[in-house]
Amino acid sequence: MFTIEDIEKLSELVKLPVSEAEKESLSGMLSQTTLYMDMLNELDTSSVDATYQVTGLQNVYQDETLNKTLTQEEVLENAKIKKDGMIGTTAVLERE
Amino acid sequence: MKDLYLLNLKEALNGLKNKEFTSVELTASCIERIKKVDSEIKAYLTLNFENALIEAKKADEIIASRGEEAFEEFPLLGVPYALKDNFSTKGIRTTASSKMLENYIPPFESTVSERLKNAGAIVLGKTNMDAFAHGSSTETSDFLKTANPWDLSRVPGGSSGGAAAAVAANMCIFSIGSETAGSIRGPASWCGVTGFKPSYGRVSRYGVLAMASSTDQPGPIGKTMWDCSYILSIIAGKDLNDATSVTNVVPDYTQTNYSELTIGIPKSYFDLEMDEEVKKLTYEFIEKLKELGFKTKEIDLISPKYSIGVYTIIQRSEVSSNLARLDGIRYGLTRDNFGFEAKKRMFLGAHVLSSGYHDKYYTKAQKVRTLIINDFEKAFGEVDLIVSPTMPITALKFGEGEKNPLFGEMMDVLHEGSAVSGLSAISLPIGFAGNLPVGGQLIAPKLGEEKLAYVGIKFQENTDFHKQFPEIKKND
Repeated sequence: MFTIEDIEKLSELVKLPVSEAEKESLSGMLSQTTLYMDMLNELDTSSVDATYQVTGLQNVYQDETLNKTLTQEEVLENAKIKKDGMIGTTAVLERE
Repeated sequence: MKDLYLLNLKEALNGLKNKEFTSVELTASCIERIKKVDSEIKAYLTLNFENALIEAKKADEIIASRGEEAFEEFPLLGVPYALKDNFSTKGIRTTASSKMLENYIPPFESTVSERLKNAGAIVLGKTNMDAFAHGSSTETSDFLKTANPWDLSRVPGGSSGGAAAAVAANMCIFSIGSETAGSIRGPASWCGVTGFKPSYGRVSRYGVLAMASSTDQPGPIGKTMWDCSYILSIIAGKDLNDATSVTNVVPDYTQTNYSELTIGIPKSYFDLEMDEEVKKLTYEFIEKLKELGFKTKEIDLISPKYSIGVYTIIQRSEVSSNLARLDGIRYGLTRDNFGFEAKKRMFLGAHVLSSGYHDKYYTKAQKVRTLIINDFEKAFGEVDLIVSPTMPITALKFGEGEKNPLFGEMMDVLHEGSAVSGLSAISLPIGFAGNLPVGGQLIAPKLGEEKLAYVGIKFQENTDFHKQFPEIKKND
């Protein structure tokens, strides 16, 4: 079950602000979802390994050659704040 | 001759090769059709008409100078198509139907659209979808509500709803969708068209806005199985930009032949709660396959009800991780612009990955995934393909799915097992329940696309369900 406190904690983890109404609705909906997730306990998995990818490919390497890449202008095209060929972000450190 | 927008891919290619019409005429015919009916359907989010006509003119010049031989180098020369809006297109707005990306213009091209461009195909526009592909009705789009061309009060299915509706309403010659679990098969079924979901890794994911990276897979939606098979031969194959793309040689999927194939009927799939008419039509589909010389055999598979939990946990985890990159700094808007569906998925994803729950949910799901994979492998030791309905019901009315937090996952219950196992599958039109189309699903082992193409093409040579198209009735 998800309490309002659980939702607030998750909100910080995923950096997503939620309204009071959304908190209510999320706690109800996520609690309902876990019913299907808990159903997996009906199956015995003690003798199998987990599968994280299904291609069977391992250690995919390629030659270290110069490939086509984006120009600096292209990389900056969609950035909201840019200055001197760099992308601007909001400050994370405060000035003394 | 019939209106050009009505042509399927094979007919369009023949007409262009034989100079019965030009690419400009074909493209203009699709554009006229879009202008006439898309105000009702709302399949397209972004239109590319001006560029499309320029490209068509170029294609005509190549055909005029080189004739039929040009199609050897450009196997889709001059053919207009619709592209789902989660494929990055250089210079064309790409939003994945989310407000987060409403102004995003990619500086690069996805491998799939690049390969289609190199084959001579022309993008008519980008199609509507569930935002970030989160859903099975296309209703979670932040911009438009796409209607099902067969009944405008109903949804087209999703998440590739715009792509499927564009084909069903003859607003393109074919379209490209993508699937994480059911997003090609589902809307193809509800819109009465053919959908081909390739094996994981068969087609490059480069430049596709990621949903769940371990199952995402692009694929064609078309008017026939031949068309989808032809397109798959062009878009499939190893791509250096996607380390998970597989190296296996890509055959011509339209030229396959098998002397004997056995199709498995999984009891557990038919035991699920489903519409009686859908079940009946699926049994008729099986009868037709028998008439065509295919053998059938009852098989056991783990109940698909478990795949709902497995898929939900894996997908939510990967969604929360993939969408973490959207911080509004390099591109896109800030995180408060995410829709509720995306929030819901990221919250659960973060929860199942967090310390204390990781083993209980995430690792458990990946272990059950192994059980499902092993189960399919055992079944494919006895049979070549597996048959079931594509969707448990026919297209729903708008708003019907919103109340259930697992609506998408419940609708995709017949796709999730094969999706998390990386298998290939198709949905074929197999009849109508009232005026609504019903799809039949065939599932093949990993890289078993040739068998699917063979059976699908043979089925459509002997039936005409795929030749039915809706009359678009305008709402007053």
